[in-house]
Amino acid sequence: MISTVTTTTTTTTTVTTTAGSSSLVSDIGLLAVISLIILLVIKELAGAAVDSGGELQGYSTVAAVDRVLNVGIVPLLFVFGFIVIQKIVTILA
Amino acid sequence: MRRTTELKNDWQRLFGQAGNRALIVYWLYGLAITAAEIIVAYGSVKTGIILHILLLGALLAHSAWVFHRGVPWLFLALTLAPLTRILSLSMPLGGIPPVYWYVAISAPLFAAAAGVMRVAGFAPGEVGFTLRNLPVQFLIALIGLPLGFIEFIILKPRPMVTSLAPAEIWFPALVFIVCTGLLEEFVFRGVMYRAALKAVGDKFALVYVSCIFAVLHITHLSLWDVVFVFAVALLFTKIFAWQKSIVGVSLAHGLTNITLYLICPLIF
Repeated sequence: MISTVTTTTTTTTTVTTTAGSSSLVSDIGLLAVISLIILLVIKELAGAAVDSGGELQGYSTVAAVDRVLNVGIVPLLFVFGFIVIQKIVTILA
Repeated sequence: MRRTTELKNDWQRLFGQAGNRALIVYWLYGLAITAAEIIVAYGSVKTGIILHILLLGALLAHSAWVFHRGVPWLFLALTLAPLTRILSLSMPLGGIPPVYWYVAISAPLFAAAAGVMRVAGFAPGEVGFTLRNLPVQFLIALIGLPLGFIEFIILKPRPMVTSLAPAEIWFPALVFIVCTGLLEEFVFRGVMYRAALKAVGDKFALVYVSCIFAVLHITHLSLWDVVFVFAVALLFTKIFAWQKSIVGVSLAHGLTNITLYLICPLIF
């Protein structure tokens, strides 16, 4: 009863699959990193809009965007960090 | 007139302040998550992940859109479902012992759930972080043993350890309790159920969150397991609603996985 860790069977399935074609994990990692970049850009734009004031008071939509995006950004940063560390370890090894 | 008011009160008790349209939107998101999981499990992993990423974006945008109306909780909490699958499949875990996979994937999910908790303004006690009724919690934990055995009969997984010696089993057991039991109960019972409760009322929240929890097990490639997990999710959510604590259900969940992946494969 594990949903998080790709559900053991799938993790096994996935890693077994990608052992043959390691490009799958790289592709999915790339998709995650692209998503992270898009979320960071939107957050930066929303943050700039909030800082510039204007009609943005309280929980206007833009301020809310700035706030809720952290929910997606923080875990994807972990993924990015993990990929970078893994690459460094692979190169050093 | 009185009958109409009573019906309206009953409706609000069951489904909170959410209207019919909101309920349909929640179910549509639920269906989309199910579709993405089916594609990951039986179709193309890459396509499934793209769908999960699009869902994550849609849920974040939707929660921001309704934020000023004060009803973002469930949309925000639902982001944890696509995030679960994105995180678990995007990390390069090849070459790492399987038990560490759980550690690697649980850290960002804990962070995401804590983020939802913070943005939604849930206090630790509201999501079940409380140590009250500890003896009862330990009794609840024992439910995990038969549940793990039943799921072992359904899934028949390969053993994750080579013996049941304490020196070999303690670390995987700890990982199962913290990185699957505590994490998933925090995500599904603590944050998601609390958010659903606030948004749509108790009966709907119970069924809805149990459905989401069950569909995230489609990747086990067993329909019986999805049905079993749905029933277990209903039970755990009921216990959480009764005890207002995730301690007992987290231990039960962890014990289920210990029985399923560590004990039963070596005994039977």
